[in-house]
Amino acid sequence: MSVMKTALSFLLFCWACTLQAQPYAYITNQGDNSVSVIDTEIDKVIKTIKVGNKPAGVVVSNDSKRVYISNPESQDISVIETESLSVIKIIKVGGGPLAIAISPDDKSVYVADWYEDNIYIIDTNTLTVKTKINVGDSPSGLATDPNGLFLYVANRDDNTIMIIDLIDNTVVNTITVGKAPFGITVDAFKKQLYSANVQSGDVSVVDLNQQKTIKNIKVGDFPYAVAIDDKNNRLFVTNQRSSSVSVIDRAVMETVKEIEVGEYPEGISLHPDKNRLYVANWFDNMMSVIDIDTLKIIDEIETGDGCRAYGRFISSQ
Amino acid sequence: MNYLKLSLLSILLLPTLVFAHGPSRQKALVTMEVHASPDKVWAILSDFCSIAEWNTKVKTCSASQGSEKGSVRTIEYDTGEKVTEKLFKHDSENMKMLYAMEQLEKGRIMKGLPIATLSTTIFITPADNGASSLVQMKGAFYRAFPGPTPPEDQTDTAAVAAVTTLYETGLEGIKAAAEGK
Repeated sequence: MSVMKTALSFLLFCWACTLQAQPYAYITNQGDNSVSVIDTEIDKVIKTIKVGNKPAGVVVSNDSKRVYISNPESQDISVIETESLSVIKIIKVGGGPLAIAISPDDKSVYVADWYEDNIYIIDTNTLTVKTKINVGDSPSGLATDPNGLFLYVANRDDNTIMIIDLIDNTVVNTITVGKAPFGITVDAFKKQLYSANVQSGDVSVVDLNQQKTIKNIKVGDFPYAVAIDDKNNRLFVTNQRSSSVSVIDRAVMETVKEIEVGEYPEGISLHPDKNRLYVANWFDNMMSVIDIDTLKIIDEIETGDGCRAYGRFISSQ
Repeated sequence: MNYLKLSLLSILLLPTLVFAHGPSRQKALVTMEVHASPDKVWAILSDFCSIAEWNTKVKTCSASQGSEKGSVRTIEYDTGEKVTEKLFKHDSENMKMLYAMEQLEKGRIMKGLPIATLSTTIFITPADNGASSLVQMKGAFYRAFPGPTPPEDQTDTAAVAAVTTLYETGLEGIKAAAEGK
């Protein structure tokens, strides 16, 4: 009897805990001016939220309470509250906001404006732009470091990565990478930054201690964004023109496999369970879900038109 | 009042700021059923320069390295416009090709095809237990007109219509060749 009771309470407890621990994926749909919300427990779209024009960039806050969406054509940021799954504020920013990132303490959101070559810093308490920083030509990628001290910016048309000191908001270094860097990702433990270079078809590995590019690794055509898999020490890179994801083994710093996905893959994020990888296929309006151990596609999820999901689009809880 | 001023200002600023890097990427998708085996259809379209035979909108074609990946073909449209296209994928096993037009020089607007970039995927899937084929062409492209207010024949809608017609013409040609009509 008591065993039954324990088992029952355990079951109830676990049922409750799975209810809570179901990360959502927030997918920007360029063609539909919306965000598809995917419950990753069942891999289905559970809600579609209207946002601004031609949404592209996305970042989920570290506490999973908010999602910030960049809308290049309405030149604003839609702020979604995850509890109600509704837009609570629209913040006007200049020109063409695309890449978007958030500080580790969730207090600041960074937006790259690739028309006006600025980074805007949004105060997430007041939801207003508090400052802007002028950077290189066509900033297209952003990454923060876990200490919150630096912001990294990929300047697509300068072929550089800029490092911004967030204490006084100044550019402290500029590092040359491959041609037309777009999505960038930082590994805090390895002290490395990876940039997907659209025109040279490679990924630059930047050593953040030496502050220089130590290798360019060939991937597919028109690479767009990079995700890190700590568990297997790999990188995953979406290749728009190759309709594939390149797998880089970081032990040898080489591409070891290419996985066919849908057409024009763009955004890529690792699920917090560290078993699944989600890829947004812009042309095909669907997400590919990849098992990161077997490197096989295990699911496909239909989204709105022109899914992009450029940024960290899966919540941690 | 302030709001009005602001919106007036933003209208004035639009052309220089907002569209400096161009508008949004567009899509076109055309599917055609061809009553011939996939092998027969693939034999017709797999040569990178066969486009001059199956698309009546293409007058001439010459390719730098045949149908090898990386080959660059120069095609001349019936309008007299010339473009180069690079072969990114040539996959006989899956009967799939991917090629892309090299980006046009700034300001150039082609007659009848108001686009600045175009990447095309063409692939065959068997239908009717292999007796028939579904041929699909998918295009991702940007319109050529850089500013916010394109003339009517250069809008996103016009660009989508032009690429769709280009694909339809090609697929009709493939169908006619494969079905022996």
